[in-house]
Amino acid sequence: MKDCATYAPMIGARPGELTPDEEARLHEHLAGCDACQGRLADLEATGGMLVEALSRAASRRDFATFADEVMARIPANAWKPEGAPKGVLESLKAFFGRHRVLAIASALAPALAAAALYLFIDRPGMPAETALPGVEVASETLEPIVLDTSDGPIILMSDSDGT
Amino acid sequence: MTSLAQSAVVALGLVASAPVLSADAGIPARIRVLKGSRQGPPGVPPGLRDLEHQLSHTAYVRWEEARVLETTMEFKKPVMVSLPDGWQVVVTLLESRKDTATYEVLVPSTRTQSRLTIPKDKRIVQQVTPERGGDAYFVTIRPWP
Repeated sequence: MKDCATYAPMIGARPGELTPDEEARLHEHLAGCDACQGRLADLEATGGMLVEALSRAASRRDFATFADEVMARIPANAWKPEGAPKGVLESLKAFFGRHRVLAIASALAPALAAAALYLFIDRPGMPAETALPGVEVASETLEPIVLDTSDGPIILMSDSDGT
Repeated sequence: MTSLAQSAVVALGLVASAPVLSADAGIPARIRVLKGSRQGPPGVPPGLRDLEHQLSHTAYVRWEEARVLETTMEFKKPVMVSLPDGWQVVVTLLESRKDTATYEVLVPSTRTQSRLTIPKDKRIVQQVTPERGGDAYFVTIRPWP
């Protein structure tokens, strides 16, 4: 009986879980142990009942209409033939229709970014943005550098290549 | 209330017009052309002592006064300043207020344009030629010298 504690857990093992040696010893034990034979019989009966119950439940359900029912749940305009536009514009239109503030902000963001670039980037031929009031320098060929001193600014002009 | 408004309008008119001097007046100015060199023994000639501190902030160590032009500049009338190497600098007095004068400095060769507002007690030194062989020319304008 003390071997039952070793072999009982092996009774429900699935194929491949036991080594050939364990399988051989389990068979040997089952041949001489009524209790474990009873356990095996219970397990097989339970498994058989479960399979049967599942099969019966499945057979009660008619899957012939399954595909039609799934397709019926998909909105008609959500499906497009392959290669056709995916309806992104329609989706965006609907989305921005619901979120007007976001739509306005999205439209303004690039315009504001372009305006910021226009205002803050040094452009050749345009007055250089200097930190000093009263000093504006623009050059198409040279790069101005303004040094502030207590006596007044000094403006150095370097070649665009840094020399 | 009406008189207050009238006074405000008059005051505003005075404020707007008074500081800008008449275009006929003109103001005296000293325009100096300097040559700065990176090489050679360091030195600033006596005529440039007032600029010494300002010039010490640059990498040029040797300074020469290449040309001095004392003139009364009229508003919007360009003054041509020739540099020793043949370059031209065009200086124009644009406007003047109580303690400041605004000049435009044009260097056609480098297509460079500056608009400089110079207070009475300050000087602006501007490099007007690119550096060649360690030398470069500068212009400084001093209103009411």
